[in-house]
Amino acid sequence: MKRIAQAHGKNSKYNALVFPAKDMIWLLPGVAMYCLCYAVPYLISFLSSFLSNSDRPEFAGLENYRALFSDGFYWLSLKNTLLFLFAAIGTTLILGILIAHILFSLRYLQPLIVLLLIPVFLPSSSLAALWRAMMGSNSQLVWLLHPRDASWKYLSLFLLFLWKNLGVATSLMLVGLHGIDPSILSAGELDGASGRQLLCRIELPLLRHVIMFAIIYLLMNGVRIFRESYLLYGGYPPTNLFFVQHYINGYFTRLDYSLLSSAAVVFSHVVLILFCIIWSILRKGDCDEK
Amino acid sequence: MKKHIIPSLLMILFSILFIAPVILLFVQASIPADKAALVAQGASPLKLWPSSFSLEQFSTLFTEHEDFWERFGHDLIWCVAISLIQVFVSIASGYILAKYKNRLISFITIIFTLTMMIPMQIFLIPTYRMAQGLGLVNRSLILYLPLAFTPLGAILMRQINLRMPDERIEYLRLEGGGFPQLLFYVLIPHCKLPAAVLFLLSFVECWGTVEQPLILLTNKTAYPISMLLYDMRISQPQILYAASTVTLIPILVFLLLLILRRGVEKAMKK
Repeated sequence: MKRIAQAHGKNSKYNALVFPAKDMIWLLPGVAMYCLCYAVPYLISFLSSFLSNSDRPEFAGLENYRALFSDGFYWLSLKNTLLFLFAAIGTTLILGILIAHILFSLRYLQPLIVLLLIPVFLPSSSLAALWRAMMGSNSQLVWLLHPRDASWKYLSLFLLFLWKNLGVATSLMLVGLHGIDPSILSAGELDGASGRQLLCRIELPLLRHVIMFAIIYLLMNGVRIFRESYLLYGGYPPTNLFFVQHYINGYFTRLDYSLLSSAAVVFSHVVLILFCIIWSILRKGDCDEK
Repeated sequence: MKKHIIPSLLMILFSILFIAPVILLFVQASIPADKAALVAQGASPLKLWPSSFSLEQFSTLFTEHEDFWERFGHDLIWCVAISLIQVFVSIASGYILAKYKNRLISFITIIFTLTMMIPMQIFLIPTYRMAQGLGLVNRSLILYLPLAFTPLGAILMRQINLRMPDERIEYLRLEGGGFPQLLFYVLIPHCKLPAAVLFLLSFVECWGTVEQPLILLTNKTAYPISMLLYDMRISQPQILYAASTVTLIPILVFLLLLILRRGVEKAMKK
């Protein structure tokens, strides 16, 4: 007992006793399942994007990528997906910060966050029947708003994304706001900072880790919006909602594995590169502080 | 106080909008089957109030659709089992990812985080081809196995375990506990609420799976309950809303327990 108390300076002996290296073996189930379900399939996709599509595949170099980039439908789907991701994630973040502020200043309303979070736990498949009726041509919403057809379908999916993800964005921001030391804000107020300055110069920089987490979550659900799109509009959506996933599923039914592998590889790398850019922008603040 | 009333009311109304779809679904499920079929086919607007209340849809579903219930039970067992596996694996990996610091661990953390943002299709198509090679296509195993581990679970549990004080582990080590004791006496009590949330998230993911059956199952008779509902919009629109409501019930029960339990815990703390 005494020895451990002495060793509390977090030296190697303490670490070896409290965090023995052999316990790392318990990461193995997770890593093994990850390899089986994610890493190996990813590698297969990556490799087969360089092979020709036949029973005896041969190395085809960048042939699949050339075919992919000369396909106008792929560009359309890529453009649609990225546009939707930008618009939906941006709106969700801004609304999330706004609502978190309202809940933060009116504390007795904070239990309402439970209501905002409920849609996260509702499977889209169970509610799809209702959405179809709600967004359909005979619904009360359409009577009220008189929208144009194509843009209405886009807006429906957009609202669906907001409905599903706003709760998590808001609650993350709320947790972040609670974590800010109130004396920093009052010091800013004393210095005569306006509300906008307080938000942009103090709160947002302090919230950037929370925002990062929110972006990861929203991107994750953003690339899964295909599910809702499929449940609402089936495999053949309106042109402005033709996503990369529709493209891939379309080629899957034609069994063109090589082309669809390259399509999937390109899309996932575009998403990852975008994410890394956002990450590095937000990380820049960390370096400035040091 | 007075100037807060209008924003408060607006906020309350806004929050109610978020559960309105569930309430509307219940309303549609409690109207006669012929009217519900018209709503499901988009021929008549949504009923906002159950003016002609009847449980006809439910009684039809209970008496005439045994295959639906067979599917329901089968999927329920699979989803609960898969979610339990996911929770345990995530707690164990999350603990290691949070408390051990070396290059390999941080590499795995980054890889897991990046994997979350990649669309499913890139993983599912090779899985389908592997399943084809092994003769496993159209089995429940191949549908649910890819759901048994998600990087989200491991990363979520990592974030939770980061905040756990080392002293608890230290104490357990003094008592001579190994990893199993650590899991059951320290990690699970610490992660109780997040683990319940993760269980629910994972269950919802399994229960409402759409991408996986589209690619992994070629035979429509093997379709899980979520795709069954999607097909019912054409084949049986008259009971679609009752069936949708029934599939929501396991989730709502669990959610209610979670909220009540949380309320009780909060009250106890006060």
